[in-house]
Amino acid sequence: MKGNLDIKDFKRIMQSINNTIQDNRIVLCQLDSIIGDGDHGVTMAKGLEAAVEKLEIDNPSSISGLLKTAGNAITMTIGGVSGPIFGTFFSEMGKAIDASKESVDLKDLAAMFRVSLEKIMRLGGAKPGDKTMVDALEPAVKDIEISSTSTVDIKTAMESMAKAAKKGAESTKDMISLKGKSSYSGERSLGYEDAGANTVYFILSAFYEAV
Amino acid sequence: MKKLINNPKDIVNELIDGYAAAHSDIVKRVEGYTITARKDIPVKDRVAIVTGGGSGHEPLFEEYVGKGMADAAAHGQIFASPSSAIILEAIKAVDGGKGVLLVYCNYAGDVLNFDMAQEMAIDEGHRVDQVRINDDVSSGPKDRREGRRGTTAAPIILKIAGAAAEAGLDFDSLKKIIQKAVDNSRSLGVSLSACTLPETGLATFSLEDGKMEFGMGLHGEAGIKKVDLLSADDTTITILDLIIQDLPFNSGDEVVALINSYGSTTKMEMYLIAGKLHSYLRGKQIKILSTEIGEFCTSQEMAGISITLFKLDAELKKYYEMPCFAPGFRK
Repeated sequence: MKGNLDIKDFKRIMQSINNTIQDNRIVLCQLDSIIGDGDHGVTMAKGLEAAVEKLEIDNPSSISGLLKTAGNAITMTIGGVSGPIFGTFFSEMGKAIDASKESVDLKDLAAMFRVSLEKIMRLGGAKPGDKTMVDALEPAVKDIEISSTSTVDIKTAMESMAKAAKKGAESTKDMISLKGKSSYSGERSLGYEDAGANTVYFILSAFYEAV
Repeated sequence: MKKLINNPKDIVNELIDGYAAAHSDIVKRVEGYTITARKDIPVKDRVAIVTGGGSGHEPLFEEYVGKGMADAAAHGQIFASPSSAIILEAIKAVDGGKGVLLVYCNYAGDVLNFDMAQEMAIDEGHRVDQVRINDDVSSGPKDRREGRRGTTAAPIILKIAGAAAEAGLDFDSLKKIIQKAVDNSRSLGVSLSACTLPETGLATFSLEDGKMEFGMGLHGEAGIKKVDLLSADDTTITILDLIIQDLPFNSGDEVVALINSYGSTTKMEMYLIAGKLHSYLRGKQIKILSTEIGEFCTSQEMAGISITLFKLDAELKKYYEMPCFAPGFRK
């Protein structure tokens, strides 16, 4: 039962996230095509592939460096909205801890996710209820913050966090989109889940599986 | 939908190389980046213009690079904005010492990445500012125009920007006139069928037989009003009425009218539309300086058209009539 994650864990986690996103690229595109422009899955797959490739080349020696490298690779490679937002997701987690930190515990993780969420909300301007990835990430972060006040191990906490993200993604079905390309659909965005929110779920569930 | 492509992952790279080869007398690719540029960058003693956005809309943005239009264009993947890294490189490549104005279409992704690139460039000592194109009347209310999408006014705006930059306007005056050009532009489109993404083969939207959709975006995102297929005349009048009342365009105004095919609509259809457009505007005593018809901002093979009206004043007319040498717009 893990109470800490070190850089080897994070390398494995990034691989797992990449594999999961690759496996779900078409599903994400299909979600995105109903109310967006249909490219989200392909875009995320490209971004994650670039992230793991850059990690291979740069071989960062700290958890902070690893997350920043992954995040920057995503931002630089895929552009769109997904690039800055999902790139920031990883790089802000990296910025939240010192380069000298060799392992993180559950409390650290919760703090890292919180910092990341806040930055994403500032960057993209989305609030909960706008039908974006924030609607999966925000309840997920709240969930891990609750876990971090208890004595659960990291894997259990991540499983719970991923479930909260899934619920959040499903809840976007009943929202009218207020951000991004799907916002031009107005009321026709009702009844369909947001693709970015599902990506958050996939990322967190891959994280959980790799712990 | 069958398309002539190689490896889907290489589309943007290959398209830029092909374009640079075809127009090697005027333009080049910036080595290592998905950036097209005038061959003679950085041009000294004048403000430079950088544009760009997602690929998949050709001839937008590649063909609007050249003398009298943009100095460079940063290209993203299909329907996705270029990353800030690419835009920053374009800024650095064109800055001849008088600063750079970013002129691009208002979409969430483009705003994020162009804003980030602008900040980074300013940090590195460049003078950079921006004007967003937001001409699409269907994507936001009149009193919140800044939220509207940028669509087929883009080539006209870039023509004005490039001409005024070439004429040596200073940074602030140039920004003002580009903004005036944006403020004087209104566009609206209608779609008859969705397009497919080359990488996935998936259609971006579904439109039933016998239906058309107003306010479709350039990326196949759903529009705002789906109706039974109208005639060419009724389509033209519907679009023009919405555009005219939005600015508004008044009797005595002089305009440039642009009729754009989204990709698979024929010139045959566009000439029918042109005829009705001319008679309808004549009936409203709106004069037409010039009619531009063709593919300007496509959405892969989407069927449909958009109309842009661009209101001229003496200053804008002067810049519109200046010569330019871009692959998509030669005057």
